[in-house]
Amino acid sequence: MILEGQFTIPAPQDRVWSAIWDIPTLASWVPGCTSAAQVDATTYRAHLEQQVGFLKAAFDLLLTVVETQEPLLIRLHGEGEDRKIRSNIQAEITVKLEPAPDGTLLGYHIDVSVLGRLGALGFPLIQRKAKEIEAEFARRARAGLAGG
Amino acid sequence: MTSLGTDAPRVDGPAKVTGQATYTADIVLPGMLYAKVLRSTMPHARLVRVDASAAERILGVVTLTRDDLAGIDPYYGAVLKDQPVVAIDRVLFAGDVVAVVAAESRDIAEEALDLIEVEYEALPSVGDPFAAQAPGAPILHAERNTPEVQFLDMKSVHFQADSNVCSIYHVAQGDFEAGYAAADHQFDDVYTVPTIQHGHMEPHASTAYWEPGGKLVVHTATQNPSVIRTQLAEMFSLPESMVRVIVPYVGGGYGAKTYPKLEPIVAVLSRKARRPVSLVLTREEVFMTAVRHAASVRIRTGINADGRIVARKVEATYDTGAYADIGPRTCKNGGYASGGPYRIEHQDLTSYCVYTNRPPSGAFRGFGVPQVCWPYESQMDDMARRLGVDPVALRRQNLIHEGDTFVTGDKLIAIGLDKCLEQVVEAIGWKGIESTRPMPSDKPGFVRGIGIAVMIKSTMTPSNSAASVRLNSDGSAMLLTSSVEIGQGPHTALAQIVAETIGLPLAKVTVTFPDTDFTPYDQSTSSSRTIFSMGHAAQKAGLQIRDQLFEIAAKQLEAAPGDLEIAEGIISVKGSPNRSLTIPQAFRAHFGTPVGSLFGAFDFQTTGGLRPEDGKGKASAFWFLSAAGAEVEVDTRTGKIRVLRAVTSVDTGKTINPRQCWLQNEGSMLTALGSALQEEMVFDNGQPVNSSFLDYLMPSMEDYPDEFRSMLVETPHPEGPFGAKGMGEAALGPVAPAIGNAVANALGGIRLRDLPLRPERVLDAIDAAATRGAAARGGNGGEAAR
Amino acid sequence: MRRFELLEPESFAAASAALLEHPEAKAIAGGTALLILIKHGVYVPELLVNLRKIRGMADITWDAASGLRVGALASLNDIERSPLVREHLPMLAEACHVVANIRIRNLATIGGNVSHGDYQSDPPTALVALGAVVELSTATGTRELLLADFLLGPYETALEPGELVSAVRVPPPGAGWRSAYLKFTTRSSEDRPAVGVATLLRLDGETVREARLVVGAVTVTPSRMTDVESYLGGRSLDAGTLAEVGRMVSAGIQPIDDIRGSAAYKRRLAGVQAERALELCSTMGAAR
Repeated sequence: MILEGQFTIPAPQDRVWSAIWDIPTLASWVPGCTSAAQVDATTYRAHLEQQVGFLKAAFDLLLTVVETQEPLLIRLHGEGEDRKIRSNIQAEITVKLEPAPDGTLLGYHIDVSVLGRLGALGFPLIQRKAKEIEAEFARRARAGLAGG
Repeated sequence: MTSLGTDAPRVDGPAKVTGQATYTADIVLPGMLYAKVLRSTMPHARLVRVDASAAERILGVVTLTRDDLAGIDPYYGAVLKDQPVVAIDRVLFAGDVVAVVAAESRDIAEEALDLIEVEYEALPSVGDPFAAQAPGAPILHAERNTPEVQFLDMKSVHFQADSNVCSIYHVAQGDFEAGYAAADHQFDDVYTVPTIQHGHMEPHASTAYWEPGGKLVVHTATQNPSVIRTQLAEMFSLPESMVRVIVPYVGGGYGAKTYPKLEPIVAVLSRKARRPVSLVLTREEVFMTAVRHAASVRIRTGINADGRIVARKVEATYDTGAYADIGPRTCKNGGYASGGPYRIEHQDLTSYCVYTNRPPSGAFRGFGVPQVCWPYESQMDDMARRLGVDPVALRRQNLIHEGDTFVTGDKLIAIGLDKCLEQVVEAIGWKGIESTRPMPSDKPGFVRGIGIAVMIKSTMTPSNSAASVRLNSDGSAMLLTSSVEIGQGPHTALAQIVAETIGLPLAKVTVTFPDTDFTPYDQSTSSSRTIFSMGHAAQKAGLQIRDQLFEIAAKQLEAAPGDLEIAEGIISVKGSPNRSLTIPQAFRAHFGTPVGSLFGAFDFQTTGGLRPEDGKGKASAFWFLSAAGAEVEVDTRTGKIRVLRAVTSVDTGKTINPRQCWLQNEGSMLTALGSALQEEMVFDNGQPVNSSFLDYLMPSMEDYPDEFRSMLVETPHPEGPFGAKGMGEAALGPVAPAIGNAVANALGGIRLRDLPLRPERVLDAIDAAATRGAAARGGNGGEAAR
Repeated sequence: MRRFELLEPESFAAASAALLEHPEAKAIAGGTALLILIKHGVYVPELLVNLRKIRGMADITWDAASGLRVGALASLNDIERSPLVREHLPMLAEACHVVANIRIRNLATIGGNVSHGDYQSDPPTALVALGAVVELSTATGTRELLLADFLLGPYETALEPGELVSAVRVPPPGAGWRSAYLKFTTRSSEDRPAVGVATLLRLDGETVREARLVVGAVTVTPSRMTDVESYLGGRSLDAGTLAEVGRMVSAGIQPIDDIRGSAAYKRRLAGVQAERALELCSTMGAAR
């Protein structure tokens, strides 16, 4: 499943860059993603909980920074497992920045695989949920950087 | 009164309809543990760590991981031993077996699985045969076990090293390039079929235990107990006599239960547990255990203006999934059949069996042929349309006939395909070229069309079946056979053959369930070979008993054995019915008292095999031939197809039990209907996303066409019992292309080349044709839709 | 399946109390939807409250003033076969009849159907079109909510802790209404709907007085097409009107991509099926 899109953040590119390069900040824009913390120079842990109605999944994520091009691009690999429902999540995440007339254009491309039992059953719902997460991500990103 | 050729009622009918028939999952042994499988969530990954220690600490729980494989050969496989009992260094598809737990109940086993810690390191995966062959693709089986060619027919298959191409089969005659170039018209198309699942009602199930003397006993839902015995004996380095495989009723298989599936798992786990272990899969797991090969087929055909097909080249690429299973044979058999049942001077046929990170593909009713019949029969109609001729006439002109030489070099015998075609033409109401035009429907926006297709398919060759018949002193007889009653009716049909051969009432003959300690070798209950091969062996065994009876009776009746006859258990002198003897009387005469038994046994080996150098020789002991016709109604606004009528005709050689043949055909037709219209396993990044009957829909009773029937043709085969050939799979192949041709005819020639014919796909094709039509009208007025 | 606790209360009050006491608990009735999720291991219950031992919650009654009341434990088969439903709300009988197969319909309850909040279902579409109301009860009280407001999203409803759907009510449709429910499947006829259209019409000769049109199974909750409804007022259902309805529905709906069809296909399908449902309704849907 590919998620991609772009939105403008009313903040200069260097400020947006410092925010996304701070992985815990970037992670905090993802709804359900908590307690992001650095493990070493390029890896981070985070906890991702998602809920569709009464169906819940909780993944302990390992995020690895694969590539950075300051202040243009960051690529991350994320993976995590929910053993209770024997499901895995894998994601290749690319975030790109470019200047825009009213701030910074943030573009993202996420190739996410939901594997295991959740993947086997929840396909349309996962897609739906992903769309919600996308919208909320944009909202939080804008809110987090607006004004300050 | 003879039962042969009559609708003798199924002997297993009452037990099944009353729910009393015993299947593998019904067998409960003292002390038995229940197993559950931990499956990979990754399509391709290195196994960094598998730690089952926490699970193992629960009382009564026994685990199986890669750490428990010491002292055995952990790999199995029908052709190549490339599949481990549990994953060793890597997992190769989402659903691969990582660990197994046995516990006092399935619930406990399920919870114990949660305690197993697995760490994966994701590897790049390949989702289709073309990605698998791309430069830089990960090689799934780098260190390939050399095939032990137990199967003589596999010698013609070329196994590839250092490649995801598992095997290649090639056969040719004439000079394709020259013939194609010289032909008046050239056709070059690519057709595809997706991965589908068999949908057998009973999931895979196996139970194993070890006797104190070291004998391994397995109760299992398999189609080939003898192969299971061999594979387990090799795994544990045991003599085959120390492995006992017992098969009760099997609830459908359609190929999914051929070759080892769960048997290695329960055998290894029960050895560790020292208790019987039972494993029954869930439906979701069934979708990860056996599927039908997806295929992409490029077919090039040169045809002359006079309708003669002169050249054909087929490259059929099959997705065999993560492990070879019987894929190399499936692809080989599909390969040489891919030119179709036609006389074509120049042929060049290649099939590729390619590993991918998908569930293992194996045998599926039709065995590689539906994947190629769909292309060649669809293209046939396109060629007729281009030539402006009746597609049925075009088939008649090019069809193979008795005595022809097939591309493999086989001299074709017992070929009644022309009769099958004519039966279908008649039944569907084909009226020549006018039948290629759309027919109106009474509903606005709907159109109708009819279509026809034919098929040829081989059977496993060479192969071996042995039968043993025992006649008791009371005149009852038992056929000891390893043929599996999987719903296709051998307990009835083989009994009919034995009863007819010896001259007994049908009710006096029973057929055993396979038990390799007692029933003789049979290669497989598959390839529709049971009636032909086991029937032949049973007939010869029965004849031995009849001859013994005649020897005994001849003395009593003071006649030459050759002057005797037997019917309904009464031996009499031909022409003098009063000079007769019952079987108990014969026994009394022979043994002094009515004790003892008479034995007959026969081992039937069909001959054949293909040469490695050119893929030729004798491909098949007999040939399946069939034709199908369909009438469809297409909703042009939604693209939805409804099959209004479907008919097939199958050449049985000799019909042993007409009703069961019709039922077999209807089963084949329903499977084909599903594969044509709706069935498709969908994957997202390697994860199957519709592995349940909620999201993978097979046809239901409501989807039955209004007219749905099969017809039988009899072209006797000299080696078949009473002339009978196999027939169980024959009706499947031509149904999908008949539907596709009917759709094309309904839509004025719009050709869909990808199965299934989902409404969305049909609508897209209608749109595309309209766009092309508009463009053509706006341009130089070329053909709207080929 | 993992082990879980099962409570089998014999009264509604006890069931509601159990749900209130155990926030992690989930109610189960027919189990046709929930068991699939449990068997697949994506839902791991700790406690299930089985409602099937509760008596008196499967009644189907009709009152000229208040309309139909279906107890939450009535099965889809009960509804489909109810003479009251067939007489007064034939569209509801049809929408229950086209669900899966008889084995499912015999187990699945209407309360479970609406509480599950699955968008790929037939009855909610018809019920929303009919203006159905759900009775949400606890041990101590009952509130009512339009079904359209009760359904929030995939598997999401407005149920509060301790609340259960106790009944589904359908107000009397009033005189002169015709109705039709049209299901479309892209695979087997037993499949869940790729699209379902429920429509009601009040005609005056050839002219539409009032219309209601709801498209289900393509969006997370059934979509009432109010712009189409007002467009239809005062028009006759000729080819031009129907074509415009199809266009409006296709333009106005945002379908979910799923295994039963792409969003683009369902968008188109919804338009075609809306036209056909209206046609069916005007010609076949019995007027009351």
